[in-house]
Amino acid sequence: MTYFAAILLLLLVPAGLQAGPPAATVAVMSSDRGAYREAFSAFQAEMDSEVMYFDLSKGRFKLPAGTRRVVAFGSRAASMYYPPGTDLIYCLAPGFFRPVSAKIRAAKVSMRPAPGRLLSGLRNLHPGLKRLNILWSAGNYTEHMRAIRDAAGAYGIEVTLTRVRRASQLPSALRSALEKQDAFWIPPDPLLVTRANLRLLRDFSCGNSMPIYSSTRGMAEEGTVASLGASFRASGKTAAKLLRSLIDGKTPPEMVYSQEIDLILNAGVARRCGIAFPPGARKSAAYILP
Amino acid sequence: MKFRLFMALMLTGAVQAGASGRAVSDDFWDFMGEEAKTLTVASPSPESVFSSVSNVVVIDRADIVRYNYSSVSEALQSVPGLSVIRTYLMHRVPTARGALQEHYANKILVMINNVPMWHAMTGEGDLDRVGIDSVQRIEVLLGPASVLYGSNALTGAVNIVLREPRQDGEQGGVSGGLSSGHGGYSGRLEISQASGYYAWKEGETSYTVAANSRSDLQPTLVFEDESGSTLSLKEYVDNRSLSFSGRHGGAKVLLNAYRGNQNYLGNSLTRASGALENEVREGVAGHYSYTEEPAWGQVKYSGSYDWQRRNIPRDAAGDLRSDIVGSRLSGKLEALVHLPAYFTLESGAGLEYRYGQRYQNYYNSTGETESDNGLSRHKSREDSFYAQLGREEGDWKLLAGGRYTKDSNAGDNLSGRASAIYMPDDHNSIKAIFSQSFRTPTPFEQYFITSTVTVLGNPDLKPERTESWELAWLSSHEPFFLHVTGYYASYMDTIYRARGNFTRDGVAYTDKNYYYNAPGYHATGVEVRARYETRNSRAFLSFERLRGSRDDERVVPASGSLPASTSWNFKYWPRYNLSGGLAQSFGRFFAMGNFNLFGESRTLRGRLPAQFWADLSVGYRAGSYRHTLAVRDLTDRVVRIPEYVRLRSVENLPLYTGRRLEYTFDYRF
Repeated sequence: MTYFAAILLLLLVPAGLQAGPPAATVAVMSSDRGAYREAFSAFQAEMDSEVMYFDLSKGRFKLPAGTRRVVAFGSRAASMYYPPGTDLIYCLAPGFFRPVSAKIRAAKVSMRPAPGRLLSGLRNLHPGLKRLNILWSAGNYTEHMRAIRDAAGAYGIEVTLTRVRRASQLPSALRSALEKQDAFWIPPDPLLVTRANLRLLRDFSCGNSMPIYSSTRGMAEEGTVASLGASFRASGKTAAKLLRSLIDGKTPPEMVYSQEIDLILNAGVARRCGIAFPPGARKSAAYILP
Repeated sequence: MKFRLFMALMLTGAVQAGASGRAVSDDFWDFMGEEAKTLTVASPSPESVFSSVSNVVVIDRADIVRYNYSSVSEALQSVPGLSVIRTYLMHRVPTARGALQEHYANKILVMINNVPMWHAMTGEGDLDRVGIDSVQRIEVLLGPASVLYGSNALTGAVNIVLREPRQDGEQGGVSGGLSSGHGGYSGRLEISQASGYYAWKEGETSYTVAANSRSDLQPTLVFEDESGSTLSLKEYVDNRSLSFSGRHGGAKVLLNAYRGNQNYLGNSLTRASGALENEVREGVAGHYSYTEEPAWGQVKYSGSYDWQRRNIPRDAAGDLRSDIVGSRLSGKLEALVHLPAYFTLESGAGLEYRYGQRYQNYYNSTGETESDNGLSRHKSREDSFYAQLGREEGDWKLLAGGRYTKDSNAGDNLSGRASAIYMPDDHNSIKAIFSQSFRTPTPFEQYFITSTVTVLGNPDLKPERTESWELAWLSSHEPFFLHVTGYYASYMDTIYRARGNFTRDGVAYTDKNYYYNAPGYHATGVEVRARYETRNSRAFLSFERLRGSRDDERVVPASGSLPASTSWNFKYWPRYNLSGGLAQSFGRFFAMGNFNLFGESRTLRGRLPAQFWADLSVGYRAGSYRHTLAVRDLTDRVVRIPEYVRLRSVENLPLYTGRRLEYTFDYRF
């Protein structure tokens, strides 16, 4: 009977609908592969229920009537049109910030740590850190990078902000900051984080024994000396917690930071580049890449 | 098998790029790639348009699809300051800022994937080397661009970028079309297009193969030629092209082959000189480049080969023809060095061999040569060096540089440019640009001579030059985008065909056509492009206002019973041009319309009222299929433009001859 109902349901629901009955909450994914799938799986596990979802990579979709809450995975999903009155939670959308609207109440789950958590984490990782240069490209990040700079004084760190508008500016930005900085930090900025740029950063870091810290495990795997940020899985879980508080009638803030922050160390890069981690860092790392 | 073939083609680059290795985390790169795509698309215009040190307009794939452009030429009509018209000798002649192209269209550089492609004998570029379905985007640079691209980028450059894979895996599509042909909207249907492309990508390796066949037929028109004979004129441009582009790591390969047929209007605009007969154009080009990116900058070396042929009729039977063949072989070494304090130095050296193989008049029936026109196996060499120093920090971007060029036949040239860009925020950019450019005289213009001495080349010609000052403001506030440019341009030593007494190689010729460097002229103008884009709607409006000088005014002698007159470049160009478009989706249905208004202009002895033409399309999209029905030249009027090359009794030429219908379908996978 259950199978019969499921088959009947699949025949009746519109194209693009993947699973589950119509509900007040639906998930929309930019794609149901890779990072998005990992975050969505963690989201469902945290919700302890199956949530209906749509996969944007498979075409257009129509929200079921009665949908009140949407959880979007990816900036493409987050930037879609949603009916007025919808509550939107979005994650895995680095560099994308949905404009504030009176019609849609939106809350973002950041992949970055909160400014204080980031700065204290970097300080633990690099006790001699006094001057930190933050590099980014996506224009939407500017205000958020300023917030980190403003908070840095309390941690004894002087932050310099360098927005790299184009990839060709990156080498000049690195070279110009060489004598003036102790380390670089890079947010998960899709416009800056390209294969070519990461290769360049890795070469620069090794050539000058200058640590470059990043914000996702992927960046650490690709050659930054360490990363400090929320995993895809943690982002999904945080989105679920946020959804639950929303269902409970609480008003979420516009930006929510995950409490599960992973420190990833790339021991191989550190060794090759002549960068040493402090003794405690290895113990607090979630992963130490060989 | 496909991969192996590709690897064989890319062998050299693969060996050198092998050290770069494969990504550790494909999921991570897929994620970043997907997110970058969304962030880039979120901006109404690519950031490169805002930060480019040149004044650039981009027509992207979405524009091409949403406005249902049928050719590169048609898409270019949407760019303010650029019009694609025709002369009596050529179809689809791009014209920038009213600086007219004369017998051969050689003042605007046409490139495919940034590789210059032009005929070594006559200098002309061809916009139809690639069908529109093979195009990812078209980048248009208005104004002088020789420091970047060398000779021929005199008044602008058009870069046609081929389709690229969107993401890892396979993509492709096919399309076909039927049109109403020479009978106009009541004519029988003929196949108007058939095209397809296939693209593949995995990590840093990708390739695209695209094939395109397009036939643009226009309704038959009764036309009176220069001798007063009435012709039943069938305007057509047919093209077939095949392109391959691929990359592996830092190695890139481009291959392009094309062949086109089009109707000709005769060497002297008469049936007796070949009007109504078929002209053939064809070409083959190959390009390889390899880019290395060490920490200090970038090094790129490249080599190109471009062979082109144009075969034109010269008599009423199409038996006497001219075969014009030339090729260019070039190599370049370029480097970009990142210097301290946000400075960058970009420099390069290039070497190009040009081979004007023949400009031969021959009889098709016997193969017998009538004349080699003094242009058999003509060789020349060009050496060039350029350097640009730039600084980009904060809101400012500055750049200054120059190119020195030495041509074995036409002497040397030094062109410079300087740009200052101020970007106060992500939505605004202000550019001040000074640029110079040149065009080396072609073998045709320098050495042509027929047995009957109808036209004489001038070996003493100097390169023609331009200079422009531009101020541009770009602003984007979603969903609006505005691009306003004001400019002052001067044109010097223009290579022009005149009639009079001329001495060459010690021989005096009386009352002959010959080439010389004409007096300069100048113009001021304003160009405005406004765009509106939302998910379901897209609209644009392009406006051009131009005021040109009469410094190059000259007397045109009487022709038969017609009185003498005077002529100057801007006599034939309207003071304003306007074009616009609107595209709207309604669920699975969509509709779009484009219009062009070529302002009132003068002809040699009279005036030509403003010319208006418009296209309207409606369509239906279902899954991967798309069906479109287009009405081209909606008003069914003959669109005319001034005849400014021949300057005899025919004072205007048809650009479009009437309404036609076209159905197209697309399938994508």
